Amino acid sequence: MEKRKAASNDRWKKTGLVILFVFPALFFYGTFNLLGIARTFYYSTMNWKGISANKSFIGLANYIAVAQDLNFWNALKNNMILVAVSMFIQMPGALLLALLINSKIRFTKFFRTVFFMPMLLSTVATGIMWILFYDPNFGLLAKLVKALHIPISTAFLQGNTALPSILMVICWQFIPYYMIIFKAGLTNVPEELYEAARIDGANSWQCFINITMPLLIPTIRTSAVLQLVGSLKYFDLFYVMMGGAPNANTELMATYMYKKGFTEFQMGYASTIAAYMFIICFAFACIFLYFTSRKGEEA
Amino acid sequence: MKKRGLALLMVTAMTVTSLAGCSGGGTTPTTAAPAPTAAPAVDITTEAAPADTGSAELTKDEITLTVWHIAIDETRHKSVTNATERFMEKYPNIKVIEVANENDPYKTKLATAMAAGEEPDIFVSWGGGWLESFIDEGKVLDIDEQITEIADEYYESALSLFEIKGKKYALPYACGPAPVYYNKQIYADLGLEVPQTLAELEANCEKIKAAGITPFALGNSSQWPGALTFIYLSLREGGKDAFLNAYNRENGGTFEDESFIKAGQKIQEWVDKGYYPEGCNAINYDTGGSRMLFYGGMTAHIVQTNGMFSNCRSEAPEFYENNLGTFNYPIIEGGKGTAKEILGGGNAYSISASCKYPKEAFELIHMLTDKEFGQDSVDIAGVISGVKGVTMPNELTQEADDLVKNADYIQNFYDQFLPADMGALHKQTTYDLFGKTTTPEKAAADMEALAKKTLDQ
Repeated sequence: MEKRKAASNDRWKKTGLVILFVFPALFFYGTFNLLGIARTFYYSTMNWKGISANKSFIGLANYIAVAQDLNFWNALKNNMILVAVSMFIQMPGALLLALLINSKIRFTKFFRTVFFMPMLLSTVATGIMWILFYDPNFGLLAKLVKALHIPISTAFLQGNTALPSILMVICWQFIPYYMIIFKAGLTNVPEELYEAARIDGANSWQCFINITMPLLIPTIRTSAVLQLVGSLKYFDLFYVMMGGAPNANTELMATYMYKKGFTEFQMGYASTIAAYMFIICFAFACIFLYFTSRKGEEA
Repeated sequence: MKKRGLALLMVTAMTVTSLAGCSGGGTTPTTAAPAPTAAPAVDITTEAAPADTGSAELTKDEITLTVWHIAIDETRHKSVTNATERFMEKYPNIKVIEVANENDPYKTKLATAMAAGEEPDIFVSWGGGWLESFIDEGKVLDIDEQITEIADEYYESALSLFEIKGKKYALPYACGPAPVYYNKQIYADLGLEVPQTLAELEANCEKIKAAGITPFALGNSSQWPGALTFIYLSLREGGKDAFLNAYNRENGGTFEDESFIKAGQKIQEWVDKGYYPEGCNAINYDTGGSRMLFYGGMTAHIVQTNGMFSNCRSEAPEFYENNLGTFNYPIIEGGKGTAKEILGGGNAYSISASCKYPKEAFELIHMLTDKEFGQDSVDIAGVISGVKGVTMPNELTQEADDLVKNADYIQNFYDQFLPADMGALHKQTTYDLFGKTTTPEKAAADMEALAKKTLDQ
């Protein structure tokens, strides 16, 4: 009896300690994340301008309106393009660069610094720099196109060329970030494995396929989820580079939400868009992780 | 299994954080109790004695008034602090806290503060639909009567910019007409005269083009710079009534009026003729793409707001001294518009409905916009204020001031004037007109369709 009491006392002490340590993080997480999300869903059922406290409950009317809003679907389509570019261009690109700076060629430190530099710039500075680069009259690219007499319009940030132009900048900015993550993953691959494989007569390609890739899978999965979620909620460069007014070609869910909430004062509607974004992000991440983790178990 | 649980936890964490970033719009806490319907703007005129606004009746208590403004750059800020210092000298018991804000973040900041019930006593606005949103929510004090008493100190046209539903809600401290800016050197070299009619302007443009210069600079990436031309053309074509009738839904006015369609046609005609630089929709005004074309003599004109004066003065002082000239937008022969109708915008101070000391606040905004301030503003910052009796320091400010003085109507920029969603569509459709991804008829029809939804209620 005594013993059991002591044990339960001990357990309580432990739990108390855990709560004590977790509390600060939990407090901030709860206030600024969980509560925020809960309120987003609450506001999404309201007809609310966001200027005063006047609001009225309208149930799911906002959800139906957003689902019928072609601009929203168009924004989602642009987000999907961004996801695809992240997955199929950024990731391989980052992996390639990571392998490059991990190999035993000269000046790897130099290249590592150079490759990583775009990541150090603030997004707005990056955006403005590239606006100047793409300027139809004075931009470097326009001058290049004119000097080479390539018969295309130099209005890059307009019409159909706007989206690819910005995607290009996003790749430029984010490839280094994933490069560093992959580099960290590569560092963790034990050297002995390669040595053993070499002794068995494996060439570089076989080493890559049979050692590097399998051991890098967890890193790749993590960065893929980061990219997926990051691309679905992306905002900054599109907003900056389109002069604060993205149009049908370049509208994203987040920029559309901002437009509705802060320039058109339809905060309830904007909250609904945010709620959809949450649901979409959540669903995509769950599906992705479900499938990739199954593969992991089989292996 | 454990792994999957961990993974799911990670997903939740990540998506949750992602949303915290993107749902800022939805998470503004509200402290005020919700009212069932939009309250009408609070009326203080009942308690304020009409005839005298002298200092005698102002409180002797130690109080504080907060002012949020957007005079962030040093010169404009100086003219504001000079005025608040004069005020505090006159009323030592009242402390004025002035907060200078960046232009664009200010809009979000004020809306958030309003929603939270933590708005300042005095705030700056651009008039039009933006201010009207706040009025509709009962957030702005009705100061129509007090303004009427001192109305003859200001230009009528400047005050009219801040008249909403027949009432004046704000005192103007900056009033800027949008003229056509031109390069005097190019005009002199080619022997051109300042045009009075659109036909003359087009004739000039042909000669300018023949000389290998693009007639107009335009950086329309952010959509509003091109809208200025559209508004001017429709204003000259249909007069102010075409727009006001369409907006007020009276006298059979619609946004499909032929003046709007003709304005769209003219824009596309000019785009086709090469009056605008290549890819004008992809040029960013804020980073200087269009202004460089103008300063560099590669284009002859630019239609811009009065902000162009200060931009030019700091970015290209020599050009400002020697080359910069302005003229009123030419009239269209046979059009209903006159040269006395100009396009412009301004800034003004309003008082919050929640302000505890409305009389003192009004005295403050009066001093923040009076003649002394107006003189300061134009001397220090080169900004015309809309108050009468100010001596203009140079020819350019004189030209701008004359425009305001001679005007009997200032058309506020549509995107300021219209409700926010219509303002956004107006900019989008003119952007599409310049990019030739819509037709003038379709642009007008789109506007009218939204007007039916938004205004016919």
